[in-house]
Amino acid sequence: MKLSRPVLVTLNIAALLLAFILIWPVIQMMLSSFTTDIDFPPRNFTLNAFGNIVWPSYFLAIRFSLELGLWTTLLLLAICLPAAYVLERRRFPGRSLLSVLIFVPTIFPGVTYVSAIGIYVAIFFPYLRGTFPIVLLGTAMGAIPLVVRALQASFATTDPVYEEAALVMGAHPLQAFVRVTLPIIGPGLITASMIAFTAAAMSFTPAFILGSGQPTAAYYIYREIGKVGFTPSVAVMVLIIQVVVLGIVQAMYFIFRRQFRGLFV
Amino acid sequence: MAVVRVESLVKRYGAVTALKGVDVFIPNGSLTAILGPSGCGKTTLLRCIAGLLLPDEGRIYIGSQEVTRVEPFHRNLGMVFQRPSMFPHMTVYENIAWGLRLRRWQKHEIPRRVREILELVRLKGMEDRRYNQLSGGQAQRVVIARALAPKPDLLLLDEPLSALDAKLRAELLAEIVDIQRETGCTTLLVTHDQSEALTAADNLILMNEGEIVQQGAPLDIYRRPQSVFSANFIGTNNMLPCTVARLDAPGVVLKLEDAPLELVADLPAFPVEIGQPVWACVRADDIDVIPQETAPHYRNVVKICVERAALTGGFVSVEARLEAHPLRIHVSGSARFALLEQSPAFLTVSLAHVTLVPRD
Repeated sequence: MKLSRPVLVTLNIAALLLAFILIWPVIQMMLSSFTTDIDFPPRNFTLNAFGNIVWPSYFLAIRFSLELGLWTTLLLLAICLPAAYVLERRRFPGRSLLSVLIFVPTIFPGVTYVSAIGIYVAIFFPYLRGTFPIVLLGTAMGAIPLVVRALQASFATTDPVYEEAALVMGAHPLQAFVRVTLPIIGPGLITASMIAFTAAAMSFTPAFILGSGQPTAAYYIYREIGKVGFTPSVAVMVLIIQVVVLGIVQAMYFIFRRQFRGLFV
Repeated sequence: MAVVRVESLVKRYGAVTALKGVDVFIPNGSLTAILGPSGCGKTTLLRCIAGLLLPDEGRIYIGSQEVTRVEPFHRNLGMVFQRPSMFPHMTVYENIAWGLRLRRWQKHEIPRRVREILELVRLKGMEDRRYNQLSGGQAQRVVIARALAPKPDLLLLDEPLSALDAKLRAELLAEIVDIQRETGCTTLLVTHDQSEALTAADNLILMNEGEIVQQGAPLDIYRRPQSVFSANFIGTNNMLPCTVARLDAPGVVLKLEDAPLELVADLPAFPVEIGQPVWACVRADDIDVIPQETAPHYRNVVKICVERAALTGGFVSVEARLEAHPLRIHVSGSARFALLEQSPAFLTVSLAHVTLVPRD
């Protein structure tokens, strides 16, 4: 399709504008972290805001976020790898039902779905209320559709011929999966892990609704805003959790990219 | 190395029957080709032998062992696929060595065997390359090496050349034949390419619609097709409707339908009686253009009416008529250019080799 020049220019401007609208809050937050009050243009550059944070309790919240991120990633891979594999490679009764049901969490807004889990736990497992496994489960269930979808795409673009070749060479199906299929879908696996980790470490609702008070970083920030409103120290907290989580994800990417040399384009 | 026997194998996909009770015998050390049009069930048969598909009925034996329900990883086989299947996350060395480890080779024997097999497929010095550092032909040779390295009972080749370009295909086919002769490994080659099958195989199985149509030496199937399908699938065949006029030792005299013309054919493998309708098959390559005065020295000399002549590479394809029946001739040799320059109205030809096929 050939577009005329004015149309192209308009599209270009629209794209830049959208990018700017998306990125602006992040820039504003970074600027505000180093000032005395939330304002534009920023004035009075200072590091005072860093001193106004109750560091021990915020560190605890960050640690909880990261723990939740790690365990959720592991749990999600354990659930979603087999699920994505059978959905993509096997034909079995109930397959189409499963592929629809897996997407249930995306239909409900986060709060309603997590509340539904809360009610379910209160009825059937009252002694587990507020425990870490329940928060973990709530976090993981919400991210299942994202991770299954990402993994399913990896399996779909990987020729089953590699597995068949491995089987004829004398590998058991599990051996073939671990030594051949898994490394070949490696890049997709890392992407899925990054999605799972980010979603869990940045999560708010499960800790808020299902937890027993220990906040995640997002929940901690929410409480701070409730207490003191939007201040530069809130901006600092947001900045820190962003840097930590994105830093971990980037590090994961660089470490694993070496592992899968020859597969990443 | 082993004999492979398949007994009345049936495989259904829902309402479609891909294999309708197939019996196959693959001699020890042979290079057997399964040839047939796409959808004839040849790949299904191969995948059943590999253990990647479970047949609905029938038995498969490799050597003296029945393997019908044995998992693929417990059959000692090597397999080369149509699509690229060299593991992209492993080097050439690792691809081959992993297969040897899976077959429980001694650790100290593995490097020597990998070197040996890489030499055989002419990839010496490429041990550390990965898939993206090899050409398509090289990657396919790695897969052949990987399949042969553990000394399998049977090597399965599932259209191994069809992803390659024409020139490379001929080269690699010749190499496969050499390697097969050198190792003596019983080999089963599935292909839809008749020239590939005729060139490489010493035993040919012709399949159509889930059934074996004919099995035998390639030359035999080429020279003596036993059915209309065999006659038409391999090469360009002229099918002339005839009736048996009389049996004349050592052959059969036929009368061409709607024409006052008699042809002589060898005695066919099936019983014939006088008055029986048959097809007389004459290959386009088995018709010789001859000077009229030498006619008495030839068999089945007829005069044909030329309609069109076209160059198709190594030979000139002539469309002609023998009485009312269309006849195609492939003329090779230097005389073919004269045909193009001034197309004669009539040609005297000898139908050198006539084969009979049943007609009902």
